[in-house]
Amino acid sequence: MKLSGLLSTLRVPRADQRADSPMMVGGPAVGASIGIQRKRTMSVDEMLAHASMKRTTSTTDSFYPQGPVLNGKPLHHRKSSASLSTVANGVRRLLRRASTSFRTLGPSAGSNSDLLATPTSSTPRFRRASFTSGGEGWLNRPANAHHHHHHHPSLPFLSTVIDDEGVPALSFTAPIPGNGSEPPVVPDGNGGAAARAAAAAENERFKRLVVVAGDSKAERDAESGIGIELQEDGQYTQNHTNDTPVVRMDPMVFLPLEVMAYILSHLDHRSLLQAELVSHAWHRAASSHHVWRDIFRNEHRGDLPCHLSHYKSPGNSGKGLSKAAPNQDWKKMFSLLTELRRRWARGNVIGCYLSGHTDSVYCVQFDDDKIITGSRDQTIRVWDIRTGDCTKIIGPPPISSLGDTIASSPQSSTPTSRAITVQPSSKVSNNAVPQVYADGGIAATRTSPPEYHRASILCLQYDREILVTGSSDNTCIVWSIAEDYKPIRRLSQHTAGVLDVSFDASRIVSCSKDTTLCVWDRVHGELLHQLRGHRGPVNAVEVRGNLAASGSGDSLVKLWNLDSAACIREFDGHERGLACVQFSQDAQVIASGGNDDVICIWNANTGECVKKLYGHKHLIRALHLDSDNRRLISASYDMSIKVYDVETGRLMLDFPGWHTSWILSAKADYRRIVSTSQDRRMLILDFGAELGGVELLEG
Amino acid sequence: MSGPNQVIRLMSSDTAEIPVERVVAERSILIKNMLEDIGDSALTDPIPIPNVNEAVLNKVLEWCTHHKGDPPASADDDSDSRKKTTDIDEWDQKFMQVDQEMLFEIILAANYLDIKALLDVGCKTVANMIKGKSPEEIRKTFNIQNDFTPEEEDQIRRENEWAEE
Repeated sequence: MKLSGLLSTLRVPRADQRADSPMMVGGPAVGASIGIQRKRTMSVDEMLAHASMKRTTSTTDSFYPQGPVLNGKPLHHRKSSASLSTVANGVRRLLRRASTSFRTLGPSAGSNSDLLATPTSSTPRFRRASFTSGGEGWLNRPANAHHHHHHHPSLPFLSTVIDDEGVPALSFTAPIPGNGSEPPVVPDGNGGAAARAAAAAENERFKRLVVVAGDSKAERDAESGIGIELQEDGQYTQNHTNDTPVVRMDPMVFLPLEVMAYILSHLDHRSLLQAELVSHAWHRAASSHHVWRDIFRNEHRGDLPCHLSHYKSPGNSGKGLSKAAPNQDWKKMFSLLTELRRRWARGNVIGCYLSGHTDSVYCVQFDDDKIITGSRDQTIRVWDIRTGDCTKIIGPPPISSLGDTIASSPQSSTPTSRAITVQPSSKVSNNAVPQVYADGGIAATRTSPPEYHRASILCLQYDREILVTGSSDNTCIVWSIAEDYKPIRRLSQHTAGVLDVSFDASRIVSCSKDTTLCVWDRVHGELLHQLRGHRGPVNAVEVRGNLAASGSGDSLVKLWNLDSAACIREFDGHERGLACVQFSQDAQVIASGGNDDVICIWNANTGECVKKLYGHKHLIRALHLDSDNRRLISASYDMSIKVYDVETGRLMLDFPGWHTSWILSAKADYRRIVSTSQDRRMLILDFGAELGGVELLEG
Repeated sequence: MSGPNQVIRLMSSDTAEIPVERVVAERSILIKNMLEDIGDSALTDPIPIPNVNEAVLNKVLEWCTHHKGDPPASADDDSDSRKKTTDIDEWDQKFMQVDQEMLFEIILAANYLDIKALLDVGCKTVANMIKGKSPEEIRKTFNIQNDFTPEEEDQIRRENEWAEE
């Protein structure tokens, strides 16, 4: 029957593989154990930690006006000095203002004295107010002192700019009728500029009359003042250019740096880089870390829900969004991520191998500091990802006290030496550059804690606090990372090998060759539910919130509600048994792969298969869905690692031939793909290798 | 009369008194806090707004009147969750069709008066004037002198080469 056929295909290795590793025959791990990424699951503690960190950051790092403004003291510290330092601008503005207020300032107000007009009746309330006031901030700023009607934007003597953008291109050759009680505006025959200006002024005045709402008496008075100015327009007989006057002023001079930074933070990075080239002042503001922090977060955070995108779990879901630390060079980080994306697009990668395990390496997870692997050699190993040193080996005592497989292990009595070797594979594609690393000889500490697995380590997941491993010995062990990988407890319920494990802040879910899933309380270790329904070994599971997705040799993906312990959906479409299942970060999408060599992308809500990705020629053993970067990384028994664009389904990168045997697990983050193989080696494909400053991105 | 429809008076920097509904004025967190602090004397004495002149204050109050019914911004509206789109609703776009100096004055007033939503609209308006422009176009827009030497410009361009495709 179909089912048993599936089971046997999944579990029994091909004859050619069996020859290399005879011990694997019938072993539960051979076809049925799969390491899956699941660290995207958000831990509540970490969310909280992040939230408080964020708060701290925003108080120390924020430059937005709320705080100071609440104290009634606006953020204008820079402003006063700016208006002092930029004397030229200040003077220009003063002149501008002086000339617009000429009625009170008199002919000496500026070079535009020839433009002077005699005030007519009902002089509006022009004031010089704070031109000379000497206080801090606003009061010190001439710009703030004038009445806005005084600097009528359309007055011709403001026309230092040769541009008529934004002003109606009207050309008047005849007198303009007055508006209401106002007298007509008569052109002076001097090229029509005055008329144009007057028309613009009229236009502007009309706009204000329409736009300015409110009903205060003061405002009506102010409006009436505009009419007076219009009367005088006809007297502006000289010094006009042909340009339409539009108020143009450098916001960098006018606005406090904090506000300017806030404006710039609304730009995209390309516009911001252009803004840097405007002037020295713009360059300073536009290249500030504050601004780039916002640009970075806007453009490199995707459209994810905030609470999810804040989260950075150790290991495979690393985003390269870096730590929250003061004075980070966000622009540099932005450029690094840009370069990393370019390298991902082109496949520019440097690969290196770690070896040390003495048998197939079934599972892996990594972060910016370490790699943790589990192997058929019954050990868990911790590696320094920067140096490649194996820093810890956890497993049975190296002495042959057990008298069985350990004793037969070739190097069981000596701590494994680290070895990073070359990969001069002839089949390397994608411009991949094999990198030679010197072999190291650093001895790792081998510990044999009171509890350990007495069979293959088939799966693992860790976060900041705990490591959970699952084994062919039918149990899971929870280890305390903080306490140097001290075993906390063993989870026993399954009656066959534990093939995959996934946990979040509250629950640990394990799945087994015994066709069930067990849901455990993370903190206390009690069994909450045992989920039954699959008719084959459950090879993969991933938890996301109160959901778990499982993939089985029975070819089905099932979606479970962990609160009610009910199976809420089945995803039927694969033709053969499944080896791996992944949620997207928002749990809206599920990806699955297995023995039919096809990757299915499912709508998690409807159960519909929305996409099938082809390319692999053998069982797909591991998937890693990187929602942030819209990448799907797949690893197969065909010994290739492939990278797909999740949106389009396009095959972006292919790394065939880097492993010399089945690939058993693969994880990825913003810069690396780490895979493990039956060939006992781990491969790090590093897109960030030799990229100066890439450590700035580390979380 | 007390309550949201109570009319209070604001005094601008140029000593104009502007009557305004309390609910409108309280779009300004600065004024809201002041009203809480000074209590009933707000009924008799105008509240001085020493940093904003009459014209700008009227303009700001026009915005506040239109937006007086807006739901309050969420407390969590910090720089992280802020959606940095430069979309501006239609009324606000029209409201912001003023000359540059008035625009900047409105931004300054919104900053001083602590009217976050108005500050955002103003800043987005300026951002839209910058977006997608070349340095020369930006200079032209704001009448800015290029004070870079050609060498300095080259240097910056080189530093920013990473962004080019």
